[in-house]
Parts: sequence; structure tokens; C-alpha cells
Amino acid sequence: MKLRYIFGIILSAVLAFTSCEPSSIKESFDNIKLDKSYVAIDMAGTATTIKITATEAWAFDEAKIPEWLDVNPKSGNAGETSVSFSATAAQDGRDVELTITAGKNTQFVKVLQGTKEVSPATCAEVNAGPDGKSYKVKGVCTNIVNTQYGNWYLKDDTGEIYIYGTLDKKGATKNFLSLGLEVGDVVEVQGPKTTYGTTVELVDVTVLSITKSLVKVEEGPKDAIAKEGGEFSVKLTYKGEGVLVSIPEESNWISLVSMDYKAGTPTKINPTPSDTVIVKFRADANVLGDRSGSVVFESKSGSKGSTVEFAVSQKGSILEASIADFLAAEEGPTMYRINGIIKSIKLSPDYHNAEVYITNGVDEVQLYRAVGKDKNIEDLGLNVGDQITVVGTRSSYKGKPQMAAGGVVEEFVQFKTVTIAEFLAAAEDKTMYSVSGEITKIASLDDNYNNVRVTITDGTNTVELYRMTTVDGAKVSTLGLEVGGTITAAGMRSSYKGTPQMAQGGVCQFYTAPSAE
Amino acid sequence: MKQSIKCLLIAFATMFVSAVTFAQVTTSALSGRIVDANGEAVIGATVVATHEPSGTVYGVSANADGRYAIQGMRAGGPYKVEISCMGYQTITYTEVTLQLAEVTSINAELKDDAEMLSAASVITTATSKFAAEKTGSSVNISSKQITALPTVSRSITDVTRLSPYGGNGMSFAGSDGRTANFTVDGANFNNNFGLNDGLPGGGNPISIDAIEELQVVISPYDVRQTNFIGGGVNAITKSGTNTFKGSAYVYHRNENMRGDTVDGEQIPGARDTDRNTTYGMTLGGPIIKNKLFFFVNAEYSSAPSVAVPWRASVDGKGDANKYLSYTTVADMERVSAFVKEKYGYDTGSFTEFPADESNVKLLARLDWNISNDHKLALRYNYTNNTGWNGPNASSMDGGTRSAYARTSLYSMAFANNMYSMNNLVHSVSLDLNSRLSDNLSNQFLATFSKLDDVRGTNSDMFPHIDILDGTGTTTNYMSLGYELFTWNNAVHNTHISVKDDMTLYAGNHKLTAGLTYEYQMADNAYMRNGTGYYRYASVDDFINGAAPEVVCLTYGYDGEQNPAARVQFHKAGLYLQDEWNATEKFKLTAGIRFDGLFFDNSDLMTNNAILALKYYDKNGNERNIDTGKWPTANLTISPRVGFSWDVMGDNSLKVRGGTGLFSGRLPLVFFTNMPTNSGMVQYQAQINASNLKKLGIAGGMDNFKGGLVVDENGKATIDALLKKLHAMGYPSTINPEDGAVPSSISAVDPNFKMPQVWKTSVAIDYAFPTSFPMSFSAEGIFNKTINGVTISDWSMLPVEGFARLNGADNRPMYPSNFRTSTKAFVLENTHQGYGYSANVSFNMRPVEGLNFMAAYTHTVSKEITGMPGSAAESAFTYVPTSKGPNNIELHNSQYVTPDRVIASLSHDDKCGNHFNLVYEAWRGGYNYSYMLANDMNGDGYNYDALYIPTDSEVANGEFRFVSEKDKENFMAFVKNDKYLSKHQGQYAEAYSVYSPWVHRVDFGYKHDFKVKSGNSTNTLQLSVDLKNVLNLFNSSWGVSKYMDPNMVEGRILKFEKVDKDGYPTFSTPSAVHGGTQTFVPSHSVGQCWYASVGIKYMFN
Repeated sequence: MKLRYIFGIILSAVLAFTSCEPSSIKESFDNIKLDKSYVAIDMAGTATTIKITATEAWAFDEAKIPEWLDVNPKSGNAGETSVSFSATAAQDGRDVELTITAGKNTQFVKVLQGTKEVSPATCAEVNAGPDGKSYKVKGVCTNIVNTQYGNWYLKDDTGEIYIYGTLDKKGATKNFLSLGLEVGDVVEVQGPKTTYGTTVELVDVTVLSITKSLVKVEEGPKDAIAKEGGEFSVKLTYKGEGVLVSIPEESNWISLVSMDYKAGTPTKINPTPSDTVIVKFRADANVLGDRSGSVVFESKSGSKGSTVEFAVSQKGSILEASIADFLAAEEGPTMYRINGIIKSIKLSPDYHNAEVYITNGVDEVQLYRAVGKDKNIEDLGLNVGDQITVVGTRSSYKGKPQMAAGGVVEEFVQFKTVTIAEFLAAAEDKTMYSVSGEITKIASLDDNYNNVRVTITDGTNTVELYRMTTVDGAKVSTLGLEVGGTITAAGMRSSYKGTPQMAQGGVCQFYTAPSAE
Repeated sequence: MKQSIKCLLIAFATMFVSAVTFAQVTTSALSGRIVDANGEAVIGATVVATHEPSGTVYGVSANADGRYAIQGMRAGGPYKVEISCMGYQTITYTEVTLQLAEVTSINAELKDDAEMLSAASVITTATSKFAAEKTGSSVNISSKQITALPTVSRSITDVTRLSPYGGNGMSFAGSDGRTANFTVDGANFNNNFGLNDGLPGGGNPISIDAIEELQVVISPYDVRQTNFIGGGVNAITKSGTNTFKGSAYVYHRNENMRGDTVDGEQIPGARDTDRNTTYGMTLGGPIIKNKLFFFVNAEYSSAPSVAVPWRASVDGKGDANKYLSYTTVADMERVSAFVKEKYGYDTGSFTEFPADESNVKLLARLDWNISNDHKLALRYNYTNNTGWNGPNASSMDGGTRSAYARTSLYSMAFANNMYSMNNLVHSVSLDLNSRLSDNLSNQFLATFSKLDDVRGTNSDMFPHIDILDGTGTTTNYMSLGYELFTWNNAVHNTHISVKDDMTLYAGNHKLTAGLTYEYQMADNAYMRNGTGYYRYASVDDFINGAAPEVVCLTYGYDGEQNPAARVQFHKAGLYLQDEWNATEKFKLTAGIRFDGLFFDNSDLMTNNAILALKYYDKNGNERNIDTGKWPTANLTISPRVGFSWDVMGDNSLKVRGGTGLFSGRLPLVFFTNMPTNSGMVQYQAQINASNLKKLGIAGGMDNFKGGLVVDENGKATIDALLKKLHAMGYPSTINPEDGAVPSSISAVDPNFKMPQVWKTSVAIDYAFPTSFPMSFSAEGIFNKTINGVTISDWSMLPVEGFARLNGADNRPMYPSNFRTSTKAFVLENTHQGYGYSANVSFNMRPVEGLNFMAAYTHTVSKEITGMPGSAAESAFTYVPTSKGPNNIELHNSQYVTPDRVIASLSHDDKCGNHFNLVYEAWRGGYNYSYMLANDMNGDGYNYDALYIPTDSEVANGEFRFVSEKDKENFMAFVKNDKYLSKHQGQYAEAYSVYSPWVHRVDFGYKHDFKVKSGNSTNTLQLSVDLKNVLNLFNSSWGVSKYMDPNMVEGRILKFEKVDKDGYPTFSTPSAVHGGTQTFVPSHSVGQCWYASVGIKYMFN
């Protein structure tokens, strides 16, 4: 009896201990309760409603409500209130943390529109997508242009985009170097797209990850390889299992000679150095113009692999070309040297270049943003009619051939424009004269020797232009000279048996065919 | 016939050894009732108990109820107890053994002398393991049992595992081991500071060869005991006797005497040198026969060790494989000679770095029988555990830290730059037991303990100097001087206790009244750069007196030489207790204890900058933190009631139990964290060019050109540098106004109370009616936390207002500004927490020399935090929770071992063989929590409890995964996991995933060779102790399993993001899928079998 009694007391005491352990943590405040505190709005911004049950007045902190969000009502009293949240339509997800004050309590509400998470995209998808949308892209850093702001190129299998501004780990600008990003690294970035001119850019990106390249070019030829070709070496460090070299098809003038592997030597400063390989290549002699190519190095470790492309350029011969040849040439890095008479020239002194049209009398070509060689082009005093020698590459604009921007004016010859009478009266010296007149006679035209003898008149005086040639070496026949046509030619004053003439070697500057009557 | 029945009854009565447990009590007691044949009290009967080995005599007369009691007796025996009275036959009991802190009851029935004029009856007692009259839970372990136990570590915790509630270090019944109370002869031997959970003196403060007996108590209802929540261990040391006795012993273990394979896989490094030899002796005997005795013990153990394997190179070429440093011999010699010549400083060798770990233990005890009424015992104990370490790797202040350690391929240091870790114990105990009259006895006990962990060095006072390699990079090259973090780096703990108990025996009542006083001081001194720090760019710079790069000095304000974060408190206690023999069958004890706790505020200074910070409670009311005040004085009241009921009146069935409040301890580091973090203790000057510029001090580092700052004798002393700093304008004193707000604040709630728990227990003991001792006990203990301990961060906003996610896992998400101010970790009380244990045990001794014991214990313990670690922040933020650290739900204790079986079988034969087999099996001990892989709720702590979804929540999209594969893998794992599959639809409870059962068998074998030496027979004992024997047979047996490390301590699901609907989405780590093995064998050498061998020579 007694025993049962004691057990009874003990047992009930124990039950009292164990069953009455209420959690001290409440789900919500006593004075304000929300049926939902994560409020999701769709991308279109359609209103979502929650219910607030309060025992006293409450109010949203209006300063925290962003422009895109509409909350209605923003305050209320004791009792049950429906509050609606609506937003403007959004392209990217966004969210905001709002607070409601009720008495001494602060209730937090999170409002989401879509998800802030940016899904990964390829370069091609970025290129095709709308401006203003944020993208997450992963690719190889191919070229770093600016190391202060962090402007660089990111390339994946689908294309390339320009990164304009890179934020550091704390989100600050102008601290790109702190990231330690190097060409060849695989980088994942996130940022909004913009298009500047024709360039697709991601602006002020956040770097999500950097996978250091397993292979890094330490040293390679800095200057272009001589046109004679020869051997050159690229020194690489790698952390993968060896290095695989490949030479793209278009760089077939480069060939692999040897690879010399060296295990890394630990030094006091770098106790775990990378292994090194020196890859020796041979470049063929370049009989063409300047050219550029590349070699690709790859290093693999397990399932990981890194590639790095190393650009190689080679000086080439400058090809002497007529304007017609130049027009017919392929676009590319080949350098041409062409001669022509300035047909029109428009200087841009601010940029130290000039739009120049030159002609050989028949063909003409635009020199896009030509520049001077030793002096700024605006200081050369070039005028229409001057003969210039210019070196540059062939490009085109909207299908029309042109010399690419940066063509260099190597030489120029200026002529003294005179009437035929003045020319006849001039002294026989080295002065170069330019005279115009109507062709009265074509004494000879020889494409073999590439010269033509014509006589011209201004109606009063006549003069023979002895063995004129073209300004750019084009065949004289291509000039299509005809009696009755008007020619402007340049050359020195000479004479033959006392009769004044334009000396052999003069050039035809301009020609106008006779008007068809 | 009648006569023989009477005799039998008396015999039985003496088998019944009644006891009331007295924790922190150093003696034993004897009591009983003397009646005549008619059951009438024999008033004035004389009881004389003689402790035979020492001839110590205790005498008393029976009172008007025929009752007698003798307090303050030596534990152990054998005793001869003689009960006599004129006109009655005298009865003598022999072979009576008294257990520590227990009352042995001898009830006697005296026969009329007239009835039979024969000589006195002599009855031999046979004590049973079954202690019948105790009320609460305790286990006594005698020195004989201790000696027999297989042990290799020779530690106390290897012994206390014989308690059904032990087995896990000093953790008893699921409590934090740091809160257990360990006393030796009543003196405090605790790890009071609690930086780790080891005992003082390097974990082993006293030799087990010096211990006479120890007792593990869990719930004694005697009000004299206090200072623990989980359990207490009370040990008494051996005393000398009238016979000279002694022993000398050597124990040895090494790396070849252990397994090296777990689960078929060899463990790297298992065969690396790891050896330890212990040498020891004991000697005890009389100084004056029957009057004055001594006992001494000395023990020394050493383990060879090397602190610094690196050596300087001749040619300056480093070689990691040969431990050759880039630092050259020439440079080392040059610098050493230079400082010797210029500053008179000895750098020590750079070729030898001896670092043997050693442990010295000394104990001396005197026992003085002043008279029959007064007995005095005095004991002193000293332990010094020393280990040596190379200098700190590369930490420093005031500049960029070198990537390379001070002793490494790059850099070398000198031998005097090493430091030692000394774990010191000094303890004195004075125990005076007096019998003032037949009814009144008194015990006076005073103890002193000094338990310090101190860093030491062989270096003279000299700054620590780092010299860089001169390459312009921050690369360490050479270090010398007094190790940078060693000066005044110590944890000191002083404990003084004085108590006086008076016991009055009156009728059926035994009244006890007592007063206690306890003083405790604990401090943590840590002065980085305490002797000064200089860093030079190169050897040439140092030698040529160029300006150093960095100079540092940490110093106390106002000339304080040894500043420390310190706590001191005084505790005064008063208690009263009545032990009432209500009937012959029923005994009731009732008592009450009052304890006042008074902190000493003189060690603190308010930091006004902290005081000005505003914090808010749950109701939005402002509160402030004053780090210049300890909690206000408070009174703890602990009432307790216990009973013991002899149901049948023949001691065959006993029901015992009780209920009461117990107050305990808390690691004092949680107090000293407050001054440590308040920034008012010491000033840390960190001087470099830019700091000087900021302070506007002209001249920059050129102030330190021309060599080290020296005093008038040319010595680079602390004072010299301090003088210079003061002259430069560095502060010399501090006021509350000078305080700055630290990065985080630690504080103690002004109303904080020491932990208190309400324990209730009930037990049944049954002695089988067999011819040999055989008993069975069942016991249940229930604990309810009255004042638990927790910490909360006052700077956090209430979680109730946080936005909650949508879906099944709708935990509150921490907003961006969830802290209103500087982090403030405040030590507080909680009332949440409870636990219970159920235990069954069985004892028998079927034949002489064969003992068997088996016990099973199931323990549940629920708490808010187990206060892991020693930093305030880690103590509560490392507990997994779904709602953040201020909102921890009640959960299973991280310390609990839910199921445990212990069995021991010992056999001694007459040929000198001693066998001892211990079987121990347990589940849990490593307790895990299922969590998320990341900080989902954004509270800044990666301890976020997992929500375990139900199948339907997953099916209907209330719980969302980022992919089908993640879903399949996770749910397959849930289905296969015992815990998860049972708790779907809930947040996982912290520490509720228990490591699987482990079965271990230990075996000890000793053989005694008798050696005749003159008149005495001495014994040479050879012993071998084998731990984890099963592992010897199969490398997979006896091995603990722990959670697969790929599961990162249970972090099995990753929170990915909140989707457009406001639902959280999750991914499953690759290690988690249907085939995942949650638990895998622990591949560490500690899981293998290991052994030690010993030789012991015992004389007499």
C-alpha cells in the first residue's frame, strides 16, 4: 500500500517534469500576425494579398518600399486587414525586405518578384538577348584590355563577349588586379547586358568563380617574327598532365619543332612550382604580307582541362600593287604599297587622320583614316593632285574595297600646276609640273614598256608628253586614252632638239574621256 | 535451537550494511541498535570498534533507545567491533569493512549472561555489495578493485567506469564532464576553469596507487553534499598502519604493444614512437604504534618526445625531407654570439630541442590518533605534468604574418624559444574528527587546492625577436628570445574550503548541522608579446641596429605585472538535517541547505563604452551591460528528503529513494570571458610605421633604431621597453571612460544563478535468499532543471518578427539587419531541461574469490545547451537549431550515452593468479545532429537544423528540390536512416543521432610470486593489462563507428535558394544517397587494442 503510494507520487512528479516543457519560442508576435511573410508576385506584377491580424495599429516603413512595388494599405489598425502587393512587370527577379512596426515590435516581410537567381547563359544567348537583362556566363578569359577597371574578353564555344568593368570581391570597381584573373582562366561572371555600338558587353560584372588555368604562357615572342621566318619558342608552365599543342588550320605556316619539359624546381619563394615546358616552333618564310596566326596549348588533369591560345604574328613583304590590283586583292593582313594621285582629301586633325581618295587616272580607292608616317598627316600639306605612296591592308566597307584604317602615307610628290604656255616657258630643271590639255595625238602606246606619247593642247599651245606612264604601274592601256579626251599629267620640263616636252617618266594624273557627242 | 536461530538472526543483521551516502565526506560511520532478547533497548551498552591495522579505537555507549552511532571513522578495515554490557554476553564482530561515506549498521541482540555462562560469541561478518540503507545512487570502489581493474592509462576515469552512470570520462548521467565534482580527501580536484574537459595535472592529478577507496555519487540526498549536477567522485587516500608496508612498481607501454589496424586497414603513424614508462612507490607505516602513521607515494612517468625536428643547414640549402632549414648555421651562430655579447642573453642551443613529457606525483599523509576521541589526518599532494612545445608557428601582431612557421624549411629558432606546459596541482587537506560525547561528534575539514596550468620556459626575460630573411618578402628566418605567447600565460585556480559538521544522536533522530565556507579564484592570464616583440627585416638589420619593422608589448595598467581576467567568489553554506529511524523498517532523512554566493567585484572595471550600448529585451524594453559587475549575491535553497524502507523487515527487499534540489558548478571560463572581452585588463601596444603615423608620434620606427630597448644595465627588460612606450605617450592607466567597444561583448546576467537541478529517484534492492551474496537493484532517477545555463545574444532582434518561408520548411529567415548593436553574449539561466536514467544491476559472489557484476543504464537528458567549448559565442551558437541561436529548442544532451552496459568478472585463486575481465558496451557517446550544409536562415552560424520532409510534402511540392535526382537521393537516404525515417515532418532534434553500439572487453592478468624475506612474506607481482581485447582477434571488433566524414557531421542537405513562390529549394550533396553508410569505423589508433606490462614488488 505504502509502496504503491510512494511510486504514485514519484511517477506523477516525473510526468509533471517531462510533459510540461512548452517551447518558449512563439511562431509570431502577440500583437501582429501575418498569414504569410514571404510574399511572391509574378513577373507581370499581378497583385498578391496577405492577411494581417493585429491587436493594435501597425504601419509599413514606407521608406523601405521601392518604386517598383505598390503596397496597399500601408498601415492599419487592430483587427484583420488584407494587404495587397503589386509590382511593375520585371525582366529580372528582384526582392525587397519590408518592415511593419506594431507597438515595440518589428515584423519583417519579404517581397519577391520572380527569382533573383540569374540562370546561366552562353555567349550566343547573351548576344541574342535583350539589353538590361542580367546573365551568368562562363568562359575563358582570352584577352585583358584594361587592368584597372577590368575590361576583358570572355569566350565560350558559342562566341565571345566583352566584359566592361569587373567588380572586386567586395563589389568595388577599379580593383581588378585583386582578382588575380589571367588569360586562360575559366571565369564565371554575372552582370547586366548592354550594347555599345555593335559591341555586346556585360557591364560591371561580379566574378562568381575563377578556375585557374592549368596551363599558362610565361614567355613567348613579343614582337612579330621576321619575314624570313625561323624558330621561336613559347615557355609555358602547367599543372596538368603534360601539354598538348595544336596548330589551327589557318596558321599552317607554323610548325612544331620540339617540346622540352622541365619539372618545377622548388625555390625558397615558391616551394610548389609548376612544371615548365618550352615549345619550339618554326615559322615559314613569309613571301606575302604581314600575317598573324596562333598556337593552342592544352593541359589536362583528370576531368579538368585548360586551354590557352597564343597569338603569333609575322612580318611580311609589302606588296607593290596597282590600285586595280589592290582593289582585286583579298581582304587580310597583307600589306600593300600603292601609289595614286589624291583625288580628294578630308583631314581630321583631331584624330590625325584623313579620308583620302586616290586614283591612278582610271581606278580609285578610298584610304580610310590614312595617317602620316613621320608627321601627322595634317602637317604634310597634302592637296588634291599630289601623288602619294601609301602602305596598308585591304579591307572593305559595305562591300566596297578600301584600304583599312591606318594606311600610312610613306611618300608624296607635290606638282606645280601650270598652263601649257607656262610649262613651255619654264626652265629645264627638276621642278615637277602638272599640266592639263586635250589630247590631240597619241603617237604611241606601249603596254610592254608601259608608256604612252601624247600631244595635248589648250587651244593655243601644244606640248608633247613624252613616254608618260601610270601613277601606280597599271598598264597604260587601262587608262583608255583617246584623242579628244582631257588629260592632266605631271612631270619635268625637258626638250627634244629644242622643242619643249614633258620628260619621260611623267605620270598621268587624271584623265577625262571625250564627251560623247 | 532458539539460541541458534538468534545467532543466525544476528548474523543476518550484520550482513545488512546500511548506509547513507555523504559526498565530499572523507570518513565512514557505524551505527545500530542494541536490544535484549525481548527486544528492549539495552541502555548504556558499550560499543568499541578497533581498526585493526592501525589499532585505532572508537568507542561509544548506546542511548535510551539502545541506539549508538560512531562518526568520523577510517574507511576500510578490517574492524573488530565489540558490543558489551554488564549482565549480557559480549558479542564481537570481526572482518567488518566500512565503506567510504557510508554508515555501516550493526544491530545486535545481547543475550542474558545468566542464560548461558559461556564466553563471548564471535561472529564473522559477511558484507554484501548490496548497500541497503542508502537512499540515493552511489557506487563504492575499493583499492582492491582499483588494483584489479585492467588499465593502461592508470587514470581515475578508467576506474569510475565501474559506475553504471560513468564510462564517458567525467561525464555522469548525461552531464558535461566539466561540471562533475571530484574531491580527494575532501579537497577540490576539479577542472574548475573548464578550458577543456580533462582533470587537473594534465588529466591525471593523483596516482591510483595512492587511493584507498573512491565513490561515485549521482543523487545522494544528504544535504552535506553540493557542487555537482551530474555526478561526483569522492576519493580518499591510503593511510599508514601499524605494519610497514610498501610497494615499488614499473609499468610500461609502447607503440608495439598496441594494434595498428582498423577494419583491415593499417593506420598511418601507428608504429611511430609512442612510449611511456611509469615508476612508482608507496610506503606506509607507524611513526608511533597505534598513534601516528605515515603514508607516502611517489610516481614518475616520462614519454620521450621531440619538439623541433628542424635543423639549420650549413650551406643554406633547405631540404624538407631531411628537416634541413634554409637558415644557416653561420647565421644562427652569429646571432647567438651577438645577443650574448651585447645583451647578455643566452639563446639556448639550435641543435638540441629536448622535449620529454614528464609527470611527477608526490603524496604524503599523516594520521594521528590524538586520543580515542580525536583523530587528525593531514594530506599533501603535488602533481606536475610537463610537456614541451616548439615556438608558436607564425602568429604575431602589428604586421603581416609570415606564411612560414618559425621552425620550418624556412626558419629556425633556438631552444630557449621553446615553451613548456605545466599542469600543476598542490593540495592540502586537514581532517579532524572528534567525538565530543556519546551523542555528539564533530568533523572539521579544511582543504586548499591550487590547480594551475602554466606555461614555462628555460629562457631569461628577453623580448621575442623574429628576423626575416632579408628578401623583402615576409618570410621568417630566425626566432629567438622568450616565446611570444608564454609570458604570464596561465590559468590559475585556487580553491579553499572549510567546513564543520556537528552530529547529535538523540533517540531515533540523528541531527546534523553544518557550516561551510568556500573561496574560489580563477583567472586566465594571457599576455601576447608580454616580454616585448621585435621584428627585423634581416639578420644584418638586427645586428647593425636598424629600425625594426614591428615592436609590440602587452602590459598591465597602473604597473600591474600580472594582469588577468579574474573571477573570485565566496560561498557560505548552512545546512541542517535529520535522519530519523521512524520505525525499525523505515528511515527518513530530511534536510535543507542554504548557500549564499558572493562575487568579488574588485577585479572588474566598467567599460563605459559598453555600458552606453542599448539592448532590448523581448518586450522592447531597453537594457544595458555593465561588464564591471558580477551577478548580485544570491541565495540558493536546497531542500532534500530521502527514505529507506526495509519492506519485509529482513533486509531482503529494500525500497529507497528521495527528492531534492542540487546546485552545481559551471566552468569558470564562462565568467572570465567577461573581463577578457571587455578590454579593460591590459593594453596591447602594436607599433609599426603606420600606427605611429596615426598616433602622430614623430620619428616613426626610427624611435627603435640602435638595437633593443635596454635598461641602465644594458638588459632588454620589459620595464625598459614599457618606460619607452610610456614616454612615447602610450597609456599607463585606464578608467571606465577609456573603454572602447570590442568586436563582441561577453557578459553575465546580473540575476545569474549557478545551475540547480531537482533530482528525484526511487530504487528497489533485492537480496536473493541464497547461501552466497547475490543481489539485484533497479533504480530510476529523474532530473528537472531549475536553473540551467545558457547564453543569448542580446543584440539579436526577436525571431518572432522575422519573415517565414513558404512551404513545409517555413523557418524564419534572418533579415539583413537582425543585430541592433555589437554582439553581446550574455550568460543567463534557463528553466528548460529534464532527464531521467533507469538502471538495473546485478551482483554476486558465488564462491570465494569470484565476483561478478553487471549493469545496464538507459539515460535521457534534455537541455538547451551543453555549453560546448570555452568561448561564449561557441557555447550556444554551435547547437543546431532551425530558429537561430537565441531560440534553441530542448534537445538531447550532446554528452549523453543513452545506453550502456558494464559487466565485470574477477577471480583470484590461491596460486596467486588474478583475472579481471571487464565488458563494456554502449550506444551513443558521439551524438550527431542532422543539419543543412549551409547557413540557411542567414543568422551567420552554420548550424541549421534540417527539416525532414514527409513523402507527401515532397510529392505535392511543399518541399522542393532543385532536381529529381537530388530528390531521389535525399528521400532514399531518409528512408534508409533510422532517425530520419521516424521523424519525417519535423525539424531534426540536435544531438539525437547516436553512434552505433560498441562492444569492448578489457582483460587484466596478474600473478603473485611469494618471496620470503626474513619473517615477512613479500610479493612480486607481474601484470599485463589488455584493453579492447576483441580488436586483437579481429581488427573490426571493438571499434567505434563515427559518422562518415563525407556527411560533414550530419550536414546532409544544401539550401540552394528561395524560388519565385517563396519556397526554399534544396540540393543533395553527392555523398548522400540511398546507398550511403551513415556510420563507418573510426580509423584511429585509439580504436585498436593496447596493452601495458607491469612489475610490482610489495612487502608485507
